[in-house]
Amino acid sequence: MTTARPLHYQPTATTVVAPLRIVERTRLSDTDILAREVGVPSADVDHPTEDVAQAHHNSLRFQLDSHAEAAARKAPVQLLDHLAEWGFSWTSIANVLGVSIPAVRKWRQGNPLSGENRRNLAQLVAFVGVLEEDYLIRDSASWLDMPLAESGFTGIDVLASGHILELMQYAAGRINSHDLLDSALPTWRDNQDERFEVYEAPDGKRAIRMRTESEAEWH
Amino acid sequence: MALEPAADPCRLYVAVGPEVNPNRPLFTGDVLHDVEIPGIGTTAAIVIGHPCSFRGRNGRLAERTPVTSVTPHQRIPAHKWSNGYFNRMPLPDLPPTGDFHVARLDLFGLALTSELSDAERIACLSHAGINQLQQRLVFHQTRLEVPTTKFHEAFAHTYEEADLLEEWNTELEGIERDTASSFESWIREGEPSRQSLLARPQDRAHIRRIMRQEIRRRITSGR
Repeated sequence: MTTARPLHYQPTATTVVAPLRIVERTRLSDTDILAREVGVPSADVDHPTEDVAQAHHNSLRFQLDSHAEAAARKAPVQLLDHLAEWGFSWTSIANVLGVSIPAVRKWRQGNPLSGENRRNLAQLVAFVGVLEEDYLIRDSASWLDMPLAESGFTGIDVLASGHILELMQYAAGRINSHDLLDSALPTWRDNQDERFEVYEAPDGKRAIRMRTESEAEWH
Repeated sequence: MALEPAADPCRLYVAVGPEVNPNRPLFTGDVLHDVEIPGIGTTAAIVIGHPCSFRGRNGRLAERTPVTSVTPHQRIPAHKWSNGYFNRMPLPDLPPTGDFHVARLDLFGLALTSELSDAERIACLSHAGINQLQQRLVFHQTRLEVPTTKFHEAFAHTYEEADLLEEWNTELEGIERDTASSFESWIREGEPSRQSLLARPQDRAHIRRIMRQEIRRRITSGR
């Protein structure tokens, strides 16, 4: 029989003092604070109840939507300029938004976007804002380009698969990279093939070769 | 493991028909009209040479470039490409007709690069498309199955460099005379060079950022 763990911290008799609530940054909005508060149980409890998980999910969505509403007030060209300045590739932007690269090029030239694409573009900019302001992740474009769980998949792939809230949980340190990929890209392990490795050939260029048996076992 | 199934056109191509950016450098996976392949004839063709093999120092292209013939083909369900048709690479919805085509991996030759540069480009494969082309090529020629993720891990930096060159060419068109050369000089600067930093995924955003700053600087000083 398992013992249910309390959902919340239970103070002992000697610690029954109203805990001092420290908010790190006064710039946090009410929605940011709400998201953080609801986020606490899932970090402390191994198996949050469905209600808690749903509340947490809703709070992340609320947090993202409130940032997206602010971003959506800007012109699409401005939003694309922001992403370019942050170092996003046009390929990544197109992948995340589910459109072609020529479509993004046309938007940069001032061609109109559908309402859905404009909302998605604003959401991507908002997501970067959440990463940098709320989760203190610097250089988010680089962070999103980094391979996850020693696979070839990146945060951009997770965003392109539509699992933005799971990526927020990962950014907040509430889930690890393996859980993130299991959730967003369930077949990601099928693409891991430890028989091969990438190495630098004697001419200084990259190449692919088979691992030796002992190397493959080690991996 | 099996080979990748045929990809949706929206995932396979980065641009088709009039969407192809004329400022994009000639690259692996480009499909061109009316190319003379020695011993095969004049046909639509796809560039199969690895970027490392046909782009030499200073970005100069080799005199000849490996290509294969592209021909119309009956439409075959996507999943069947995983376990058959190994001498072909599926190219669905190819312009101008939008019909199903294949790259005939057994009908290859060395085309004159100068002719390729002047030919009409009708499609460019995406990164995923190039990885799939490489996977089928290697399997056809060696019977070795290599996961597409390994091709991406090994060569994504060359795809990134081609994308950056396309952006550089496009933004500086009409401002600088030989944009391909100026890009080559810029990307090779530094110690380690910017080009070598592209091999590290976490450094690519930095290179994109400073390239865009450099483009703005050149546009301002060129006016």
